Amino acid sequence: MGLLAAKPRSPYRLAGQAYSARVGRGVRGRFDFAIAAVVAILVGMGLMTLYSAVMGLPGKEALFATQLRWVAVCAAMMFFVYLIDYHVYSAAAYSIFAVNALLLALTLLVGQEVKGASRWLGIGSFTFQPSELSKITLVLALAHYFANTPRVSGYRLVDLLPPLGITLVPTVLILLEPDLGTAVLHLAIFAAICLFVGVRKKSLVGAFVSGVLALPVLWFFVFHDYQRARILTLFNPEADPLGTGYHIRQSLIAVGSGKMFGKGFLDGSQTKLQFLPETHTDFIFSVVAEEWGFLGCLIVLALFFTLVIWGVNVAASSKDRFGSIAAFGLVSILFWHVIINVGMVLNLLPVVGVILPFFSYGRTSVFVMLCVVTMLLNINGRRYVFE
Amino acid sequence: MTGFLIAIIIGFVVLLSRLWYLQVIQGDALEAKSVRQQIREIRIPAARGIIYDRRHRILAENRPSYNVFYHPEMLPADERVPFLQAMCEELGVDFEVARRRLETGHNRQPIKIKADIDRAEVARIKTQAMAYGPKYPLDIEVETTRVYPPDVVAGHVLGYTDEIDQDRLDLPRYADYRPGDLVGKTGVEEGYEEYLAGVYGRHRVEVNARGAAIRELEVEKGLPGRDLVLNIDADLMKAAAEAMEGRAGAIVAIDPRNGAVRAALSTPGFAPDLFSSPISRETWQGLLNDPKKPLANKFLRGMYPPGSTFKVVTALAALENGVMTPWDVAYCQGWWKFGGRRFRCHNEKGHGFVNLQYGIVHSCDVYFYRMAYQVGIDTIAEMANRLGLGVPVGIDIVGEKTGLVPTRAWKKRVHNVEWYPGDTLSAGIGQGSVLTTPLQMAVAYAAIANGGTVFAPRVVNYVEDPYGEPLQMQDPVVMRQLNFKERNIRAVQDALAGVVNDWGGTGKRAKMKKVRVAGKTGTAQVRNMKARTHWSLLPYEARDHAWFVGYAPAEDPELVVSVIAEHSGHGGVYAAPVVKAVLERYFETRDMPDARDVDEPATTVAAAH
Repeated sequence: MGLLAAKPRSPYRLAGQAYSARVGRGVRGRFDFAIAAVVAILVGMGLMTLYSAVMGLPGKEALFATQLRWVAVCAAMMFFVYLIDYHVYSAAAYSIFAVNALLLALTLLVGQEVKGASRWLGIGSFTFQPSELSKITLVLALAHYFANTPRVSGYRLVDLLPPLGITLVPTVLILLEPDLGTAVLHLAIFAAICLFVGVRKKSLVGAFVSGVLALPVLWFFVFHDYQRARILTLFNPEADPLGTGYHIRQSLIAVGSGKMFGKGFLDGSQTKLQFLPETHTDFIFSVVAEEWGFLGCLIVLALFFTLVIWGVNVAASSKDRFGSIAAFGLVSILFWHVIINVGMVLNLLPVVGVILPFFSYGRTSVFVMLCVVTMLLNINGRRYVFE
Repeated sequence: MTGFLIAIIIGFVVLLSRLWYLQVIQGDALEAKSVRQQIREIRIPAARGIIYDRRHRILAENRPSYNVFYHPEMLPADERVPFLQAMCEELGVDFEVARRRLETGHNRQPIKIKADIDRAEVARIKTQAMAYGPKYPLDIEVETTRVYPPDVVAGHVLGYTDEIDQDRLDLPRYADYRPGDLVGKTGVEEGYEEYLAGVYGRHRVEVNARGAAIRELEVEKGLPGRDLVLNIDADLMKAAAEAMEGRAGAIVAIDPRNGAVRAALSTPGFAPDLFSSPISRETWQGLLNDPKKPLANKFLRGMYPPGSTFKVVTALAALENGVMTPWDVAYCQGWWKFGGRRFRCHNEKGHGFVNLQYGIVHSCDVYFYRMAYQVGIDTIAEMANRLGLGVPVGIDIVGEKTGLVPTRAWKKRVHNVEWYPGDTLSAGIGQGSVLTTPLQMAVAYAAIANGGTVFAPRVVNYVEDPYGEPLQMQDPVVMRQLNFKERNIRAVQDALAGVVNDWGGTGKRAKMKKVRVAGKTGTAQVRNMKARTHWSLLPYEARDHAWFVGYAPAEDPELVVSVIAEHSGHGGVYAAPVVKAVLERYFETRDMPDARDVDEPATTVAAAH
């Protein structure tokens, strides 16, 4: 804990406490500019990479401008997300969760179908993905539940059933869309939070065993054929170079051909010649790898690493239980996204639709990822604010 | 908390190690893969050389053809055959042929499913491709195809062009060829492939994932093929085809002064563009089973008993070896009983006293039985070989057959039987085991006509350079000088002129008004008949072959014409008129100007306006 223990860093911060009586006042001084800068750099690099990925792709060039405008809009919205005390989120956690569950159900009923999956909900010309928002609402709901049911000697398996129920509501709805990646991500978030709040050793073993036993059931009864194919491709990408393995084979060629220093900005031939599909969404990291090489990847991953470590620090040093659990849940969203997305691009994990935060194109995901970071800043900023 | 930290660090370290492995350790290999899939080499076919006849009239030229190629690798394995079937039905081509190509072809190699589609079909396929998207497995490529003037049936001498087959690809001569390239097959197209083919150009282009060319990296220009000017005369080809209308057989016309092949025809012919597109199994079987064998090159590869046309060989063997003189006489009573067997003359009543002139003019068999018996088979065979029978004549297109002139040693070797004197009698009149090709008979008679020089027949006159001048003029190729005694060769020549011009000569149907024709008939028995039967009562396969080999003018020969009409009957009746028709056309058109000299002023005028 010592490593993560936060110390007051400046007299200015201490002075800020005097204004903390009213919402929003006290947190201004505690805004972590360094982390905001890290996020800004990541967003900037993400925009550059997106520019490179969509330039020259007929019909996709406009996506860059859309993303740029949307980032600006979201940044403005984040102002409010930051100013509202996170305890307000705690109080509204279940309501937000319920609304989101309704939206997910609605998506299944009237959602827009793209490539055989209905993931988008449209209001007029504005579309968004409730499944992306769902990650945050889940974290808030779980944090709210665990914060109010503390167990000193750790949670038993029985205690975990209600939060598991909470988790399964969006998970199942998303699995029906179908969107395996996001569903798995929900379970991963749940698992991370459970580990964080502490589970008894026996229960942990029991949970692990039941998880392993559930795998064959998932494989044979829940997974679609294409999902099984993707998982099999992981082990043998050359099996069908023009079919299932095509994405991953081209992705590996793109990553590998970047070598140490990369081919240079806008010079990634795999991307430019369209060998690599989906470069602006799920496979955007391969554009980074191709154009900026190992060094570029190292920098991007170092920035994400910084962000995650800082987030864990926020969780460890939050002044209350909700803030702590919520912070950990939020940082787990970031962590899982990076690990699963990059792991998928590098063929360490099966190809599932999980975006790379701040890089991939997508309005909902940009909003959600900025929310995650802003809420972390929110929790971090209110560490010393006592009302 | 430390546990989480360690987990996070492990997660990132795993990602970085994988990146290090891919980008630094495997980097070069993956970069090579990346480059390889971005560069495509496109070969640009060179325009094949044009083939002209002796007067620069086109015998084979090129035109663009839109060919449909099928790229099976664009589809998942289980959809390849159904798609191909649907497309074959739509394009109206034989699905079985295409499927065989799919099964035998290499996986990555596009398959030509239809050649030379029309504009409407091009438009339809392009529309479908646009609707289907980038992975449409049909593709149209512009290639050239041969076009032939419809009035000259020269398929057998010209050969044809077709996609190269595996047997040829294995040969060092075709080392630069790739599957799917066009190559000349048989005839001039194959014999002069190295000149006609030209050199393929190469484009190296960068392609995107859809295979569309993005930019050109490198261009290597190709060279068009050389044009050929043949010795073949289109007029004579036409005359020969008209005269042979409806008959199976072959005609060869050779200039005895230099061995130039003026006409070479095998009938029935086939449309020369038959092989431009894949042909169905039924068509192919139909051609193979046709009793008249349209695919066989009869003038080059058809081996027939020469019959009485061979008698001059026996005569020259006897005269040159001093066995007989032209004035020696034999008595013909209609047969000669030899070795307990009656050898019949075609004239049952007998010719009476017969000398060389009379023997050849009336084609008396008994006279030549006696002559052959006195000379002996090996001397006859030697003379035949010197004249070009039973040996390769050295023509400049591939695939000639050597025929067969039997000797004692041959019979012993092949049949392991002693030579009987009776065999000599049959061989002496061109029956028995003797087999010759129409081309060989033309070469032999050319040597007799010119007084004893055996020329290698030449189909191609010269290869043109790009300016229309001869790249290399080919001198006549002299195979042998036979050095006949003037008296002997003159006697034979006079007798041959008598065949056509003397009263009662067997070749009188070849007689022309203004020019004196010489020649010899032949009626080759296909089966050994016990009794004489009129040909019309026999089945087609059993009827005699009709031969006539003639030349004109008799005193100073310019053209030798050798004709065989399969299963037609008597040579003097059915083959002689064909020779006459060709010779007549020759003398009508002999002094015609070169087509280029006629055309050029006209094009100049047109260009000036």
